[in-house]
Amino acid sequence: MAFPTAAMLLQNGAGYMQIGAFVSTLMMVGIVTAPVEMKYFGKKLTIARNVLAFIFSFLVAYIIGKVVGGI
Amino acid sequence: MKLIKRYRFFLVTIGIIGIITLINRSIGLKAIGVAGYSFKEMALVIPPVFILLGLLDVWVPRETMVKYMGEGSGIKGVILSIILGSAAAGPLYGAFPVAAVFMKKGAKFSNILIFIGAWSTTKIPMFLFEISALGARFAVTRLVVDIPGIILIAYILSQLIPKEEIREIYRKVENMWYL
Repeated sequence: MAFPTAAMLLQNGAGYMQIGAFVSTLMMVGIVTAPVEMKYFGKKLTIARNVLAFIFSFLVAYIIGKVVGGI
Repeated sequence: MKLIKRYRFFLVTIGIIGIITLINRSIGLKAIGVAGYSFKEMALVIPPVFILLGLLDVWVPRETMVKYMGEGSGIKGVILSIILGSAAAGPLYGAFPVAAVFMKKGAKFSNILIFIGAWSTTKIPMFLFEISALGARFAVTRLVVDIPGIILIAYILSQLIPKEEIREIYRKVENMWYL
């Protein structure tokens, strides 16, 4: 599901950096699955993991923008 | 009443979709289609995951898990966690019960977090899709950045969460009904 959507956005003029952020957050951050994650790992760890993954996605996006987009 | 409380999110969602369908039929039907797809995906993913869990529980003795992924497993444990997480296919919620069995068998907490991270983002089957959809440069760059990132996040998290709470998580997991 993720990659066809990302490819479509790219074809319609989205930047590589933005798509990097989209793909990364889509895979690493899960708001809908957070209740399941909390059942296993507790509230604190779930929130911390998702927040860190969200922040990390900016780094991923920045590097992808540099390397692939050549910005 | 308890049942209503438990399924409140589900009921609210059904209500919203119902209203949307009344206002705009095609968008409503599309939403139902997407929900159906996700439901099918879950129905197909959960049974194999649980069979895998059963086999893991029976076939892998605790000593083996402690040796390869436990405290003092070092770099070996890190690499193994990444490989195990990456080899998996399927959505992230499939990773949690697997992680629970690993924890029960004595895997180190940071390795569990690495496994979860790898499962979420460096899946090998998805990597091939990514190359064909977004190009090899994109996919390889993401993989190269993600692997150290996963390890870093795992270490930050295991430092951030107090030891007492980690013990509590392990204790809770061991008491889960299906383990």
